Amino acid sequence: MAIAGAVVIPVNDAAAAELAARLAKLPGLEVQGIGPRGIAVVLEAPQTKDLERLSEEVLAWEEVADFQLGYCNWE
Amino acid sequence: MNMTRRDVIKASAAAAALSLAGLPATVKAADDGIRYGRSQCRFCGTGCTVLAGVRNGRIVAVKGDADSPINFGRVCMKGYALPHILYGKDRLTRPMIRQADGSLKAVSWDEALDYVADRFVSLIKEHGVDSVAWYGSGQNTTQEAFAANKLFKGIIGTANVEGNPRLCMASAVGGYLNTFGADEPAGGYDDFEDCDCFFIIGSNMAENHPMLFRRVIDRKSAYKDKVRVIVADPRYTPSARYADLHLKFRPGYDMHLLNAMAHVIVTEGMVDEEHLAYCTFRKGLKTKGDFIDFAAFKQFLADYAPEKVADLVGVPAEDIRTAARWFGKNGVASMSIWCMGINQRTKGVHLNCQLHNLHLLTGKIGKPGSDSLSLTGQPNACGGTREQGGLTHLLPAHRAVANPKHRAEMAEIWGVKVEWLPTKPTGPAVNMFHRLAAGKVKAIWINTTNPGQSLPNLTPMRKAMRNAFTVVSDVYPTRTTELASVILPSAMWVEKEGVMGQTDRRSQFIPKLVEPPGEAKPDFWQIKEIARRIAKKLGRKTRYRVLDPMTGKVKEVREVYGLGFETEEEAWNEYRLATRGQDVDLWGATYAKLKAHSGGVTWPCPSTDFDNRGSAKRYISKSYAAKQFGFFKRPYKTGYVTLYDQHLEEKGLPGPINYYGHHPFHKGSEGKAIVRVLPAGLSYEMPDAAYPFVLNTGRVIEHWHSGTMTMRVPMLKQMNPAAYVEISPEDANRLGIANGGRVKLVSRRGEIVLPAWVTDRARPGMVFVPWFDETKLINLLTIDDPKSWSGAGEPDYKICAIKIAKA
Ligand code: SF4
Repeated sequence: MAIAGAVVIPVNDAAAAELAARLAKLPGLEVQGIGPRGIAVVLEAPQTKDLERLSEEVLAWEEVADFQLGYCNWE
Repeated sequence: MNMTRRDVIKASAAAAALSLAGLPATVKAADDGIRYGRSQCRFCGTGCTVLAGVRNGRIVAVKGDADSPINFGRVCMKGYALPHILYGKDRLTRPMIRQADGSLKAVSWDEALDYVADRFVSLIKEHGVDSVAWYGSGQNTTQEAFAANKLFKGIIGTANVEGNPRLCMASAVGGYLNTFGADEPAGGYDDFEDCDCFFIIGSNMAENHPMLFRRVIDRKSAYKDKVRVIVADPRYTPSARYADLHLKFRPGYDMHLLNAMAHVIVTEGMVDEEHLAYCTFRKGLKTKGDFIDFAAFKQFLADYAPEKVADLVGVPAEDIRTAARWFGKNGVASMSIWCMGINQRTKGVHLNCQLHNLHLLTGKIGKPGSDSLSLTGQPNACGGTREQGGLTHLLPAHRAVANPKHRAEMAEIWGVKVEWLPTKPTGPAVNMFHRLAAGKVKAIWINTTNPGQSLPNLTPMRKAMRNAFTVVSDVYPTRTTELASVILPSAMWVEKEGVMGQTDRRSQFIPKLVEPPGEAKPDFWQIKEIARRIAKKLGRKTRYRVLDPMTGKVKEVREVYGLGFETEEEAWNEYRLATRGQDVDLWGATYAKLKAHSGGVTWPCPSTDFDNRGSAKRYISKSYAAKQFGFFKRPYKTGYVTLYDQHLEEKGLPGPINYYGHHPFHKGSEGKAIVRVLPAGLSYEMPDAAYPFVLNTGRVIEHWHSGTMTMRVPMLKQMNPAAYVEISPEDANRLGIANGGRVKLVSRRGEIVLPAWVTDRARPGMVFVPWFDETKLINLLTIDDPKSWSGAGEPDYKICAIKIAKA
């Protein structure tokens, strides 16, 4: 099991809600809220490599400026 | 409600994410049964503060420390991989000695330590002290580096002490010394939040110092129209993606570019006349050329008008002018930030000085948001090597081996006889390995570094290590342990305690949180044990004493064989004493303070007052700081830093600005900084008809240095599993090379075959190869010729001539 807490930074702050909605559709990703410094998300995957694939996918989106991890548990 | 373990961890993750996003915590971080200890990231020179989580004796989680003034709770992907670096399946867990048939035999610690000490002492007795050497690292803790320095320089008496920071930041030291007369920057990380113009050159910060780059992006995002980011780099790197202006210059022509920017500054009225009063102008480096006046300097720059050099530089003249105007504009706060692209160059010291010149001319230094900041690559290159004196010519705390007064001071602090100390340097790192190859150095102890992969022109270097008596302390098998006569298994990161010092004069404490595997031992313990044995065999006694950490009073003295300190804290206290009164004053950095404050202490910090965390700015007085900032102390979450130079105050040196200039390079400049007048030059081996391409080597975001740790992290390995050659579409087309196709790279020293990555990142005429892959040694091709080194003995890893063809 791998669980991470992260923040997704939108390219355009005005489109954050749209981006959050798109993020919420991803399996294994839960949107926790939209804040002044980005969209708080929790990611969960069976293995670290799946987690990494998920974060890479998000980072590749045009409307995403950055994806920053704040917590990671590898137990 | 009963929470499952999964719920508990998810709650912790959510709390961290909400805090990062700037939201109030709607979820409470649950008690996840994990005990967190504050540490520092083990990787790059940013030195992010992390909280490492322990459960059942293992590190299972990492979070950024929200209290940290460095990373504010965030960490990059390498930081999050930290737990995994401890648990690779092939950790070295037993000492081993190579047998006559080439195999390795596991032995006891006593057997290994006795064997190493016997061999070293018999070589010293037969061939003299310079037949043995230490090659350490910017990843040793400061206590380890101090212990090794004391053993080799203080007890054995050889100046054969070098470290891998010679390969990455010696030129930066040369730049600071030539300009300010003192090493390390005037400002630091706090300047990021006040900066209006970031001039990033020779650094791909986005990949190599991600959390500092994050602060650049944050500043840019908050003030989109005000803040400018300029990236000067021949490659279109991820850092360049964020730039308002990318100066994609021809590799090797950055000296021309920087003189052209200086030309624009002096001819378009951007010079700060008031600050010029604190500067002098001198031709060349060190003490070589004449002092000249500003008018003569302006005349010298006439040859570098952007329109005259634009074709050479490969950047439109207007872009050079724009960069200089953004940087030099009156009232704007500017930082220049650089790393290996500037340092690992034949002209590395010159380039460093030219960057400082831009600040001295415009007065963009010692003010909020203005600084010339050389980034460091390793987590303790500054603390363990630059400050502690882990190079051949240095003694601790910015003292020199060749200076009799400094030798006497260190002999007293170390409790050794002054006549034991070496009186002159031997040679920089690559020279030391050349002497190993020539048989003059016969035994070397390599600690926490991997020269079998990282040295330039590897073929003869690897042969030298194989033929000598080579002792290697490390955590995993590497391309260096395979050459070793003896392998000593080391503890790493939070398996041991120590202090590390980063880019902006900062020192942080790393606690021991878990036990090392098997019989692995801290390097500090290894050095202490071997020192005890060597000292006894040489009959050299040291003074053992315990210092009161607050007063410096000696509590206990007795004569011993060995280092004269037993614990890491005792070693730190002796080192603090060595720094007391020096510009690198860490006397105030008590263990108690380092443990209490996230982000540690920034020297000069002469005061042991608990809340005083040192000086954020150097060279300026309290009244000048108050005038510039409106206040002279900056509060952190705990404690404060001063915005004036506490060393200046302690020594009673006159302000408002005072570049102490106490280094021999500064004779005649008396408290002024020196603008070095430097005609543009090129790297030693530029491309020619036979070898028409430039080879540039470097790092990538997923891996750190030679990959010893990060290639054992499944996630990072999977993301970037092997080396490749980055080549431009134009060159690939011309040579018939397809993406993923095999390419042969040949230099005058070696060759290699790699898969191609055809990408716009690359500039036509230049290829880039990362060096993390131990199965593809790109340093077989790079240059070790002394003529290719910078004035500070640093080899050029950024420019060597190669030819390439489809394989
Ligand atoms: S930026 Fe550097 S110090 Fe910070 S987490 Fe990443 S690798 Fe570690």
